[in-house]
Amino acid sequence: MPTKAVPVGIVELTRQLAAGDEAAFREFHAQYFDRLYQFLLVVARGQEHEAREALQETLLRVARHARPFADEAAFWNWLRAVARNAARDAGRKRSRYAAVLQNFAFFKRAEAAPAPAAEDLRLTTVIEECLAEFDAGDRALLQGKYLAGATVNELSIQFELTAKAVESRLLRLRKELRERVLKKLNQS
Amino acid sequence: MKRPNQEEYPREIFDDEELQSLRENSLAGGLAAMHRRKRGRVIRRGALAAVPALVTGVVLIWSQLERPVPAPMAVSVAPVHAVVKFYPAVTTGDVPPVPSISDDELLALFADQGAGLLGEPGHQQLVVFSRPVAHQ
Repeated sequence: MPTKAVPVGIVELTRQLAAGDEAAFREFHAQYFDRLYQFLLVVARGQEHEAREALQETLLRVARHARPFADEAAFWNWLRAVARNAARDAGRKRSRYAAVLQNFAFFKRAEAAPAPAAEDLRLTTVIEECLAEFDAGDRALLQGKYLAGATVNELSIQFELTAKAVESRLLRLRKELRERVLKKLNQS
Repeated sequence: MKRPNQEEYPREIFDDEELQSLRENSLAGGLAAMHRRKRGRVIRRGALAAVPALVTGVVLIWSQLERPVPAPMAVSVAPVHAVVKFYPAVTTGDVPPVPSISDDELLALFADQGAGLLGEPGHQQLVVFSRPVAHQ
């Protein structure tokens, strides 16, 4: 996973969250929504619905129980624990039978829980692995768009395609990449 | 070309309408939760601040309440005079004489209990230890 921008004044942000400040929650939401979702995608093994359900619960729990933290690493560790618990609890709600399987799966996962850094990097690693499976032209297009940040017009010039063709191809490639990533996460 | 933004990379791959909707709903839900948290905090603080005043008020009211004083008890002390009268023993010829027994015979009557004679000869008293009561 790419290096995340360290929020400025995490002490102040968490202190204000603990005080129930709504502006602080907006700031927290803007900074951590995607990061938490990506983490939960890994925890839920590519099950998007589970990850989203857990994400919503995680954000609510943060709003209810946030407390001040001295540094970002400590805050992120706490967020990871909250997110993991939310994912586990969401799994329990589904059904008794499914919950048994889920708990067993979490138990097994907990036994072999990867190191925090490895867990944070897992999604990016899987994306890189999946990208490598595309042919060179498609990979270059995806990397140009999502890694280099090129515009559709820039890509259309580079690949000698119409803008519409680039958009259409990117849409198809993005969908394919996403499916491959989720499938790989599910198999891991 | 824009600057490469590594952070946007996974986000753009997984973003869709459903995630956008979740983004908005979770923000609204979180803000509502924060609002409730703040309100609860204010209520708790208010309640805590009110406790000393409340306790003080209760104590003041309690101290000013007229408590019922118990009626004074009339106590009279009267000396008790013991009246002792002596009557001469009357014996008739029909009554058989009281048999006299020796000390040993007397103690033999309480052989199954602890018994003894205490005191100077002529003023002795019979002491009998009662049997322990058997609990049923």
